[in-house]
Amino acid sequence: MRLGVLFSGGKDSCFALYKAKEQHEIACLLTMRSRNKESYMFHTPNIDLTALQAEAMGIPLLTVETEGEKETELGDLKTLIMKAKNECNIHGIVTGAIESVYQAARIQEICNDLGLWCFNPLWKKDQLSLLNELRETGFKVIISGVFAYPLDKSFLGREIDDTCIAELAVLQKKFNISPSGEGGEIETLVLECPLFKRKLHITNSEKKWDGSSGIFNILEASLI
Amino acid sequence: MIISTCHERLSEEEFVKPIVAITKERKIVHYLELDKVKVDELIIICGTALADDEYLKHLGLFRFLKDFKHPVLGICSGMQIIAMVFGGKLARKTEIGMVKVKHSHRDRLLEGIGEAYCLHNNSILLPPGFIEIAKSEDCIQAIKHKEKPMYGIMFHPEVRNPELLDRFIKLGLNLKQ
Repeated sequence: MRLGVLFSGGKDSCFALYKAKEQHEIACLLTMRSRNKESYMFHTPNIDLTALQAEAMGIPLLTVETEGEKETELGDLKTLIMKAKNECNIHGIVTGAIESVYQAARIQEICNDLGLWCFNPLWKKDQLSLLNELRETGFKVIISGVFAYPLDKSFLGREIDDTCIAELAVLQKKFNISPSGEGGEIETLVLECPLFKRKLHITNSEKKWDGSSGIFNILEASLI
Repeated sequence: MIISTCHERLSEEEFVKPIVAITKERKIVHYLELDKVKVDELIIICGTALADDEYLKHLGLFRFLKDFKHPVLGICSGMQIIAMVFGGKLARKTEIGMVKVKHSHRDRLLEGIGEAYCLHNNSILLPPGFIEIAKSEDCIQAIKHKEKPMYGIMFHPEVRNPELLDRFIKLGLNLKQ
């Protein structure tokens, strides 16, 4: 089946892509560029880097800009998926949804309306197991945004390695945070994975911290 | 034993593996293999993707349910299969997302469940020999055979109501003793 992947550049959409590609042809990646940093639906930090990641995988990227208003952003997403259906002849969509019933149901509705299959290969997956599986599969992932106490500025730009996973596991027990960031606690960026023919190399970045949340803003990056 | 109704293997990540994780059940059989295995224990028939109706072309493989004595739980497409095997019918009705569940008959399996996650384009009309035990505004949500430990539920308990799966497994263990 030819599939399109809703792609944010973060670990979940990238791992969902990896799993889907084991069984199906990936025709395109779809990225929503939301201007609303509080979006319920879409990842925002460093979203422009999906172009480099798509290039690293040799998969076409379709993007659409959205204001990110709660109801209109779904219409914008539908427009993007319709474009993928018409231009790339896809038969289904893949998402990296794990827990969010709100996100999953909205995308299921859109796919159902458009006569497309919808695949969520990470659905209900144990979050620490997912982080460990990413490591074991060869994903190099950094934290690109932090949005919940007690995660602090020190997590920005950090690689999710074994030490980081252990720390997130402790915070999950103590503060009930989702270690994979499914509750919006963190956003991530994939720098390397088995699907990348080249690595994403960060040459200039800054940490933006407002006292309780922040992003690791990548100013310059290239493929090496 | 868990029976997959997924036409696409990728869908099993979403509809079968979460049930395996909750129930710890390790024996998984795809419905197209049912004529090659002996089914003589508790079974859960899992749901599948919204775009997948392929299982409806293979209902003959589920005829064994007519004389089956062990506990059965059919989830979504699994419920549709049970209904069709027992002479019920399907109607086109879509529910996607959380729905309110209203109890029609008291049953331990559904105790305390007031909301559930649905993902279907087909609903069922009550088959002969079953009672409705729960419904939503638009559809029958749960049925039970009048004489056998056989249930069908339209919603996906693995998403927001995993306790239902635990209770079903306990029911199986109790009946075994």
